[in-house]
Amino acid sequence: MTLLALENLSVEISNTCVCQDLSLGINPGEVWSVLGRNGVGKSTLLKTLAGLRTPVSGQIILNDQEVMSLSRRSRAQRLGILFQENETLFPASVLDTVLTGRHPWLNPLQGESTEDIQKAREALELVDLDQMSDRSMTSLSGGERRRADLAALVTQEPLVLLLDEPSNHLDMHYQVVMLGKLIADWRSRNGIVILVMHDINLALRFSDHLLLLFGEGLAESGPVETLATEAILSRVYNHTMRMANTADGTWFYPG
Amino acid sequence: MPSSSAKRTSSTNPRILLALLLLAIGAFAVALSVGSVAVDWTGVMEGLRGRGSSVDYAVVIQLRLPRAATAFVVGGMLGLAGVLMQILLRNPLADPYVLGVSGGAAVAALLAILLGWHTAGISGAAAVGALASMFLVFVLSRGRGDWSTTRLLLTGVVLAAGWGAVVSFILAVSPDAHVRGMLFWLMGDIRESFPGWIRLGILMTSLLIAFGIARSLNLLSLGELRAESLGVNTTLLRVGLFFMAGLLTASAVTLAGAIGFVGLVVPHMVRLWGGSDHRLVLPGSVLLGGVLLVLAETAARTIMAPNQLPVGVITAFIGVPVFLYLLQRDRAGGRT
Repeated sequence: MTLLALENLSVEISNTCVCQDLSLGINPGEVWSVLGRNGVGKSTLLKTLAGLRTPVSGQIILNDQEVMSLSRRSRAQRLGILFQENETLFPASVLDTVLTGRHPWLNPLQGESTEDIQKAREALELVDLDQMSDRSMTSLSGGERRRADLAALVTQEPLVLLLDEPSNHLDMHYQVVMLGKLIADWRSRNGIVILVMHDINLALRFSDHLLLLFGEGLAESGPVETLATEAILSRVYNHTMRMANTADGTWFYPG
Repeated sequence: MPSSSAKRTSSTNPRILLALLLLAIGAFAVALSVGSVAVDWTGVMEGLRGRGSSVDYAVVIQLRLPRAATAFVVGGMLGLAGVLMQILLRNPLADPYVLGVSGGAAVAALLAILLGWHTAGISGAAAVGALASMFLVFVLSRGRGDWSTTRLLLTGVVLAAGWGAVVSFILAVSPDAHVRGMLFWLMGDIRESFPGWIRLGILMTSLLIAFGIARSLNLLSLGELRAESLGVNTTLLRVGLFFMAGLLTASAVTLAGAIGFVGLVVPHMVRLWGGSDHRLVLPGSVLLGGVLLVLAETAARTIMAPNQLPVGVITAFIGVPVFLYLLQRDRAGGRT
């Protein structure tokens, strides 16, 4: 039963082809990683999947509905995206920032209920920021801000999580434990997680499927077992990749 | 730029707004009782009951009240326009005049003064100039498809600079008899007439609409793409902000000239006091802008009585040190 399907999707950015006639189906509970070189269009693809960019052609079908035809509000209830960078114009508190995730679920004049605040507090607990909810976002470190942005996304409760380099600024512990918890959570809810990551071992640790972008519109997708090979990954990065087998599993490193 | 301790604001909003409301009442009391003539309040009361026609009644109700009311409405408009402009341009230094609305108004008003038009004619000309400038910026800043913040800001700033040059040119070639009136208009001047229902209507409607989309404004300040990803139609929102801020500025400018600093400083003062949630910042800036201008207007006509100073000079005298103090205090707190 496919939850999210790409049908003949073609995406371009400033005359560079990100993907051409790409078709694939993602089932509930699956975790995908998008791998590719710098500038190959991973973030662009993610924004397109979030319905924030119009593809050149093709369709993105979520639950039998074309994503671009959804209303903004219902789209935001189903698809949530973590951007690579976030900006702050005026500093808001951590809790207020996390509560922005409730926006798609509230009517225009409705304020956040205690239930919404409860959800935000649970999300803050997940990212280990529950002690800092009254702090200003500008007073946080880069990693803490990243975790607060993740908490906002958790509070949004989308079916599909699109994470653009979620491990940016995070230390090892949070990369493995917090992201791991978050992803396991979405798996158990039968949601979908799509990750863009440069840490290939972290990507392989979390995902069961890969979407590889080779540039010039070439792409390949499938289960991790068939695609995570020295030859294929070397082609992805245009750099020799080596594989090491240890008692803890298989690891890739640049040769 | 200014930041606050950023407490969760929604719960404290009503208290801060109530304090600002009391401040507004206090400012009106000061404005009505302070002036070059000491007022006997029994005379005012009798005048209100329709008995007799005392001088006190005339001074308070016919001279001071309309000026205070105008000052409050203009201050409220500038405060609100400042908030909207800072969000629209994603720039904490933006003020209501940054996009040249006041410049267009000034050029038209000065031409009207040069032609010897009367107050109503000058206001009318200023309104036409302000709206024309607003549409010019909108049309010129619309690139192909994309309406980028940078392009909008640059177009507005360049046009504002152009209007500034035209203003200097008019001042240079005008006969001396007109120049003093022109300078007063440019620095901002409040007259003895009520603000009028239309302007009050524009202010109240804008505040209500802006308050209704306050949550979307909070999201927009986190970034356009992020707001879009949370379901906000940012294109529509930004066009709406542009025209709402422009209309508010045009109304304020035609009523009282280009009074500086209120629109820049007031939103920051409210944020520093109660945080960045627009459910507080919007109504708070209307109230505080009104309070500030009512007090400035009172000072403008009392400090050098019987001479009157342009109210814009007073707002600058108040605004610059207050703003610098707030910035310093903020840095001392370790948050820049």
